[in-house]
Amino acid sequence: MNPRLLIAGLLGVVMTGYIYSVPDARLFRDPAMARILFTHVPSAFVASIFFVVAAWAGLQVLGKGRVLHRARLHAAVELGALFAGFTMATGILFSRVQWGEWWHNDPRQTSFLIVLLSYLALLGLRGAFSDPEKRDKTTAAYAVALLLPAIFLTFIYPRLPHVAQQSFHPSTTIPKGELDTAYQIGLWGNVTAFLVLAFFVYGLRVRQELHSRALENLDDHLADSHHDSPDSRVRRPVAVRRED
Amino acid sequence: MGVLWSPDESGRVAMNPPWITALKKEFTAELRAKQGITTSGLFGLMAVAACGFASSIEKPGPGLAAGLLSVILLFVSTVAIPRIFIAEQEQGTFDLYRQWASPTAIFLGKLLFAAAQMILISLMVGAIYVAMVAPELKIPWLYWVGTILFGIAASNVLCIAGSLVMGAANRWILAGVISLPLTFPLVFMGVGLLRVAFGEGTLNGGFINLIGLLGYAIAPIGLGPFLAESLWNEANTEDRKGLQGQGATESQWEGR
Repeated sequence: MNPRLLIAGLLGVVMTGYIYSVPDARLFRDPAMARILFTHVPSAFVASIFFVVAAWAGLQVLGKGRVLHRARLHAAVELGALFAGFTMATGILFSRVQWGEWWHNDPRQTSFLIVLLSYLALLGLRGAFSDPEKRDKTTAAYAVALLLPAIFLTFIYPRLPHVAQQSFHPSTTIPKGELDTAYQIGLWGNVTAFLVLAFFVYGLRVRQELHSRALENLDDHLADSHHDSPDSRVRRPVAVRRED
Repeated sequence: MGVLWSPDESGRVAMNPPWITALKKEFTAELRAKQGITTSGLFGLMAVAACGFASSIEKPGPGLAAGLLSVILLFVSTVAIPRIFIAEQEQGTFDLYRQWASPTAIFLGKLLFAAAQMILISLMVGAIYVAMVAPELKIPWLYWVGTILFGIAASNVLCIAGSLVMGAANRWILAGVISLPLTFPLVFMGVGLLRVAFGEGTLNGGFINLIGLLGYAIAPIGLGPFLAESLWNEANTEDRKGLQGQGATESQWEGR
């Protein structure tokens, strides 16, 4: 069995058990729902990491252009978008429970929505090229160009004083150490579990992409060397018999 | 192909850096048809008129007025700038252009032309906005510096978006889609700057946004040529060389 899968599975089981064993949070409108922290924060964490990985792989694609870097780029973009979507979904659920509205128009919610839309735009751009060479390079270039806005929207904008004043998002709870010890253990345990799981899936996706590209290359090579592609000349559907 | 040769009146041969010649080419092409500036200028005027119409009963406050102007300038640049790249591809002149100059020179020529175009449009839109929509200007110099800088920064960022979508399907729509995420920080800083010019917030906050906007305007000048060199040079990847080494032909690679 794959050791990373084993570790991810074990961590997943342990952390799931742990989540149900921690006491309910006191300051929450629905105290049991405070556990959403254990999925929301790790998802955001993993999504942010994949955005950086995508930009780094993008730089490698633009520089060296190796197939491995291309596979890493696509895997990082897809998983980044997936975890960003998961962060958004859990954030909306949190907003409904804690603030009473599905969409509270909180600056943090809006800025992360823009980050999510950015990565959906990246997927859209990737789908607009039929030529793999151009698709890879354009995706890489846009992933690099998106890094600065993504950093601004995720880390800088929500922490600006006048924005932070308007926000209800508990962004300062973790940095200021205001989180209960049981919740801190659960949070960092889940961050670790999410990271192991995410990078296990990332590895699988990279391998799948490499195999897929190798298969395409092989297919093209065989078609060319064995001349087994269909003849493009016009043929009669039936044999023509010579009449004497 | 580092330089272009052009003899002057005395018969001496002068050397122009290719990006200047590329810039001249953009101006010549624009002056011949005058399509880009007239259509995007008209679009800006109509957007300001629409805002004026919507706010005819009550003038917007400083924050909202700054937001409206930023959005107008953003949409004008989304219409005007990617066109400079996409039109080249659609007319079929881009391949020829690339034979003549390096991707860096082409990109810089287009970027400088786009910035000049947006300065002109920003001035025009800014003037009409003040007359029709905006509340009283408290710090006029900050308003004009902010408006022009916003236009330049938007055009520089959108040049990157334009260069990316050149060969894509649905490139006109895609240009807008991929441009907007890149420009959100720009809008944020533009609003922060312009609201100070309209009398809300501190001058210190306005300066911080001004510097941020300046940084955002300069960053694409460094990043853009690098991306253009990578995107428009199609014969330098290691895997491409490797594939050729395995017996695959050039036409095979191109066909994939």
